[in-house]
Amino acid sequence: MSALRWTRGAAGLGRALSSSGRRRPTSEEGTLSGLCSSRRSSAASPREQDAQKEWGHAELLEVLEARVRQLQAESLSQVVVKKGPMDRPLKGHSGRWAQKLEAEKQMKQKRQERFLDQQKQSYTLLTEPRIWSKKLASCLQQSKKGAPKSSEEEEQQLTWALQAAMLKLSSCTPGRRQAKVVEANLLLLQQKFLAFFECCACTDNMPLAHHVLVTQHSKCDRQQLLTLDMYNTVMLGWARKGSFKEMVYVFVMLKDAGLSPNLWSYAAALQCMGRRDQDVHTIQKCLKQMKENGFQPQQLFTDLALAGEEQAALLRAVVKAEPAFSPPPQAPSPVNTCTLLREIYAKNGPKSYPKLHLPLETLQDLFSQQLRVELSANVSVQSVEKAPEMTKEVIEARKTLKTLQGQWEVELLQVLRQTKATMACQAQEGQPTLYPFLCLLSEGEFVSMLLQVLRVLPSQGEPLLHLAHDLGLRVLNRHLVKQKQVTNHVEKLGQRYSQYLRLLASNTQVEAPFLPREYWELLGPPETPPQQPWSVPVLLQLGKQLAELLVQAVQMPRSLAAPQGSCHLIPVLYHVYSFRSYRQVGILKPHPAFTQLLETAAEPTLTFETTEVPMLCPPLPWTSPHAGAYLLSSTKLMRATEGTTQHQHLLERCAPAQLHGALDALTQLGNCAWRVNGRLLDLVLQVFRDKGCVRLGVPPPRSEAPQPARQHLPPGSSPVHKAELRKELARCLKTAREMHSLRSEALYRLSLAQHLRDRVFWLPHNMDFRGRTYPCPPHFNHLGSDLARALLEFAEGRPLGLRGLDWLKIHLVNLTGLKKRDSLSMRLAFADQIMEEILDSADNPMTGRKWWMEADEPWQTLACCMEIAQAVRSPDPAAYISHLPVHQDGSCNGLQHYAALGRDSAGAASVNLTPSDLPQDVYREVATQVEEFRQQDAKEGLQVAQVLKGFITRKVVKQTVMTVVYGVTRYGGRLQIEKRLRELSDFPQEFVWEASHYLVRLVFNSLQEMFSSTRAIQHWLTESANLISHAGWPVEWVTPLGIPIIQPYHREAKVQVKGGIQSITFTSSMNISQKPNTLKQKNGFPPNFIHSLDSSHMMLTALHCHRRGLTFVSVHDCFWTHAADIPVMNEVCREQFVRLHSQPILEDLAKFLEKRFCSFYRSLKPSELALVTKLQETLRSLPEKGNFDLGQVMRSTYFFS
Amino acid sequence: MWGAAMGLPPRLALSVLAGPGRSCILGSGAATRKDWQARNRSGFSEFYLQPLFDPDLEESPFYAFKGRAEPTRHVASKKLARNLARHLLGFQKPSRQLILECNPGVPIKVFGILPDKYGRRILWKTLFDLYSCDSIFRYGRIELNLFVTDKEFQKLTATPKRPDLYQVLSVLWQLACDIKFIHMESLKSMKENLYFIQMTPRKGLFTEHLSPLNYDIFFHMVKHCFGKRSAPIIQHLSSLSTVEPIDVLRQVRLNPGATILQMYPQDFKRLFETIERSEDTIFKWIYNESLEDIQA
Repeated sequence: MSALRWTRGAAGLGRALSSSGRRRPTSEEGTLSGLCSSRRSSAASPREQDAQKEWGHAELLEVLEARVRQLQAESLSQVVVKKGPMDRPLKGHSGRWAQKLEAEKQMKQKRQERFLDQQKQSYTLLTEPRIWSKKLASCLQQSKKGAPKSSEEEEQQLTWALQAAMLKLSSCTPGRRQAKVVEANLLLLQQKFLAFFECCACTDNMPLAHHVLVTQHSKCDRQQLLTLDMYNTVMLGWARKGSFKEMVYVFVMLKDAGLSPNLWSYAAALQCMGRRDQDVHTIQKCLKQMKENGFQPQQLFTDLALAGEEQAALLRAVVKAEPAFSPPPQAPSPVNTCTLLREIYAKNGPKSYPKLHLPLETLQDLFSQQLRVELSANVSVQSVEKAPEMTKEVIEARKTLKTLQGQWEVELLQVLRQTKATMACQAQEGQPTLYPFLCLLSEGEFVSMLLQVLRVLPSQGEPLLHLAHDLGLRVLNRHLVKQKQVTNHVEKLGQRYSQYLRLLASNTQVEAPFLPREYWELLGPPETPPQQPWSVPVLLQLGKQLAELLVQAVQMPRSLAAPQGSCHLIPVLYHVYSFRSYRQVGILKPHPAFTQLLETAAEPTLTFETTEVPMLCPPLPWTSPHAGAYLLSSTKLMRATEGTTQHQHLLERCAPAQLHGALDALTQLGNCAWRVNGRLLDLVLQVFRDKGCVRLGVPPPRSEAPQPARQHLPPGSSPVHKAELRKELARCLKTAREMHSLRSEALYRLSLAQHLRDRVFWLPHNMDFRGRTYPCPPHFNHLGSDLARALLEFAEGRPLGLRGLDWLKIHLVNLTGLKKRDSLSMRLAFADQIMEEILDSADNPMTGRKWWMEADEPWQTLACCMEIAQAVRSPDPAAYISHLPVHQDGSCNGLQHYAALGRDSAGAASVNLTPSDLPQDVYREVATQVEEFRQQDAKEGLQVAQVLKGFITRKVVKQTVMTVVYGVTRYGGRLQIEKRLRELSDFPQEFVWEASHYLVRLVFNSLQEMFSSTRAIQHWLTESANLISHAGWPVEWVTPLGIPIIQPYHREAKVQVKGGIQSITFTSSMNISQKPNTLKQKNGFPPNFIHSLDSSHMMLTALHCHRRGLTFVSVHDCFWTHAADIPVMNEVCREQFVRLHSQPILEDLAKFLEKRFCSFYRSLKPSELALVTKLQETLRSLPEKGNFDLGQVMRSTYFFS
Repeated sequence: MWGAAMGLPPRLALSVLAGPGRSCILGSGAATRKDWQARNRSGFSEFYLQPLFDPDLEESPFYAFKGRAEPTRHVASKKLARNLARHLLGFQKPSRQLILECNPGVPIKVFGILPDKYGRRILWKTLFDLYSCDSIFRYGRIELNLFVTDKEFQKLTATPKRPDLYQVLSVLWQLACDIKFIHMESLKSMKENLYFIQMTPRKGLFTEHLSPLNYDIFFHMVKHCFGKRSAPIIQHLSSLSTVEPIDVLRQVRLNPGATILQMYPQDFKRLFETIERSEDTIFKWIYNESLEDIQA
């Protein structure tokens, strides 16, 4: 199978999954969905030299070309290589040619070797810069005069040069300093240079970085390109090595470029001096200059994120100059001041934080297992697909595959080395090539990564853009993990973690109750922020280069069956274009024979990235926007499309305590221990390995796909017949592909479940840009379908207690979808009434009466049946230890928040904010109201109203009502209703169009009448967002818990990455520098705002449940806990809802928006001023509130049920 | 007069077939393909179209013509109408029988003006229909009589001798149809000249190796070759097909270094058919239609 299309970083590309869109609830309109949301396209532009690619000697030509470039660079002209493809001999044409080629190849190789040797000897990297300022130049000149000098003298002169450079006034031209608005192309190049320097510093290629910096610096016209960050990066690199001379050179260059050094520059200089034990005088001068520039020595230790060892060097230098200096003590961690969280962070008061059920030793063992997983590149998981029969064919295919892979490894290694050599040469010409990037990982790692990608390349091919992005991201992630290995980070982590475990383990005690984050912070200094991720163009460039290597190197014999060696090789990967109206998409597609080989071989293992698999030990607590979750793999607190930085900036600018609520809630959700429901997994696997079952959500295998009635036509069939056949074939093929993608998704899920069977595992969480929380591992988590949810249960059990069994029964009835209008006691009675069916389902799930299969959520129903059966049969049900999560669902949660915001009594009553004996059903109410309108219209003789008689049901309006809250438009609403009407077999279909138009109008009208305040608030939010975005800003706000939010909808900008086998163009709409997309900003605001509220409510509930010792997880507005704890959770949930809405939420929002967007009047054009004034007016006229008494929520049984 | 009675809608969508009368008139662009199907099922068109090649198809019921949904516009200029009638009918008495008799195998004629803005799009859509025997081409080799702009005319009829105009559309249309220039009308209101052309699908378009079953691969091949115009054909072949390119090129007697500018439309067809004919591999093409499905 061509598995693992989705093997990507957790926050990365969920393309395939999200494109199937099946599991994504409609209410998630505003979510970001990986790369697919930023519409990407790749366009191609031809490259001349491609011509030679397919001649079977591509690598030779590459070397030759590289050689030509090298020779040109050295202005030698020993060899002239004829370019031009046509005079290359044709393969297989004549033996003579082949011989000649072979001879030529050998000769070239020799020359190449000779050249490389020669280069090693003769090529020197520049260290001395060309200085443009005469004054500075003379300082340096002095130090160079009189060549052979003692090192002391040289050092003395370097010191003078440094001092002179520091004193020199920064002759910043205003243009230079305010060069904030850089044109896009220059910006791209700058990103490339900066990433180059950073990578050089990581890979110990400082001389090369220095060389390139010097080369660029000495070009007068290129100086615009170099930024302060670049000089600082190189300087810091030297400082870490303690190389004074080069450091001084860079400092001089920095001043020479007219830049003024910032804190980082001084830190680098001081660090270098600290390492070398420089004389006091120089250090003092340096500090003095630094102070004159407005930086205090304390800031070196507070404002900069330096590693411990670097800080020590820095401190040595500062203390030497000022013996009295001591670094500012670490400020005690500030306390969150949010009123809603006051109780959570109160020092006193009852706290009974839950412990894990595992002892310290077990947890420590689990930690080392997880660490091992993360240190290796990826996880191999046994596939649960039925193993193929080991026929001769299969064995043969596996053997061939293995041989080929061995060959490819060798080939890839060779091509990689050649590419590196070429790039090194180009770098020596001063180009920021990918050379240091290719040094980040070992050659073996690159090769195995590429082979892995080749194995999972889908048979229909993959756009180069996606492949390149994926590869780039993989390298980046591996590199970040490796960085941590280089320093002694891993060791320190181990120590700190095992101390941390004392807080969680069942058999240890800590001195006082702590939240996990608080305790973690106590145990050591905060983590240094990781290296900034590379920009998307850099990522793509690297990925494209790697993909190109793969295309170049990987070949197979034309006839895979024929004996190897003698026969002609053909490429495995083809670079083809697909044509989409006006654009071309470059695609890498494997040779069909290779795909077939893989299918026949049916390798029984799947490979996942470490971040795609749940963790084997409790995740690291979240302590900052970039530290938490996985042990080594970096995970972001707020997930977003790669390359989006706006929210990251906001988060980093926050006061540290402001995020505590979110950090602690996410930590707590991630700390819930899970296990696989083994019995259920067995049943699912049974169905899966058999023929699947669409009704039960187990996708059938590809072999069950529809087959066309005829495969071939008799010769001489008419074109029309052929056209018909083609259509049928296409239809079948499409269905088969869809089935395959669903099947793969299930295969990953079930294989992971099987892999984790009998283990305890954890699902680390992060959040989206609105604060909604999600588990990080993408394939196997509790957010998925009914099947996915049913496979999971709490690893820790709790006795059912007095009412636990009742809650289990009610939960069961809820899962079946029956008795929705009945009270809890009626549901309970119903469960008792059907106890026989329940027990039958539990005992004979596949052979009995199969009652569970008819339920809305069959697998969860079955799991619940089994739990109930076990509980009722245990001697004392109250003592039965239950692991099953029991759910409580908000009834139309979005409308609940709107009704509470507007204190709308009528609305509140219909969404169960007020106590009542029976659950209120807002959908039915809307349906009733719509029916009333219809009857009126029918009486007045409206035809469509008459036609609709008897068809207006709850089901027809439900989806529309549900999604109206999340901003569905009339257009979308009509489509939903149309779909429902089409499902009704007896509805006259010719009226669907008219009827759906009519109905959507009625639904909107009745909602407006029932939820008048909702519409008013929605309108107010929309209008504000409209004005804000028209004034040129993206909408921002802060949730009641203090999470800063910014809407990532901007106008699209095209970015082109040129060079290589094709240029790639991608559009990105996520960047703050682009103007906002007014339509999306406007339409997105109401639903996103409501989502930020529901996430706040969830987090508050989570934190308070934690405080009361409960296990708690959530799927947005569906809260889970143990059956015994449902009453407590329900109480907390209502309490927190009331507290949340007791805050002046809308008033605070209005105040925030006014302060943020209406406070700069200066330099505004009249039209803008008018907008801002209007915005201010809008913000000040808040929608009016009703007189609903919030306190009633506390007594409402069906608020969450 | 015959010509004057003919409706010429403002915007055309060639897949739409509706209306009464002796000739078929293209519906206005607002209608969609679905509409056409629906309408055709309920038999809105006055004369009953029997699909030519497919006796298996269900017969749709015949109803009398009830009325036209689309607004029509008439040829206002007398001169234009006269010229049109003259060129089309050669001064003969206009009648349906006559047209059919003149062109055996051409069951129906379609007249229209190719709108400037959507011209290209309609030409492409029609090409797809033509090669896949879909839409009106289910009924046979429908003759198209179109007013096209100067620019489109040049493109449609371009050969490698006009590298600036030679395009994928030129190749595919010239292969598919016999394109006959009938009349040029210079309109004062527009700066461009309008060309009246007659395009009759060729009898021999479909062969054993090029048929509605695989036309999409052929389209892709031609598009690919025009994607990098300056690249030699052999390079295109090696990323399009797994068949040994040298052998194929030798068979069709094309120079491996040739670019599309040395290839006439017929050469593309021969090249394609040769690859389709080759037997040395089970997988002939890298392309398959899933390529178009990939999200990008």
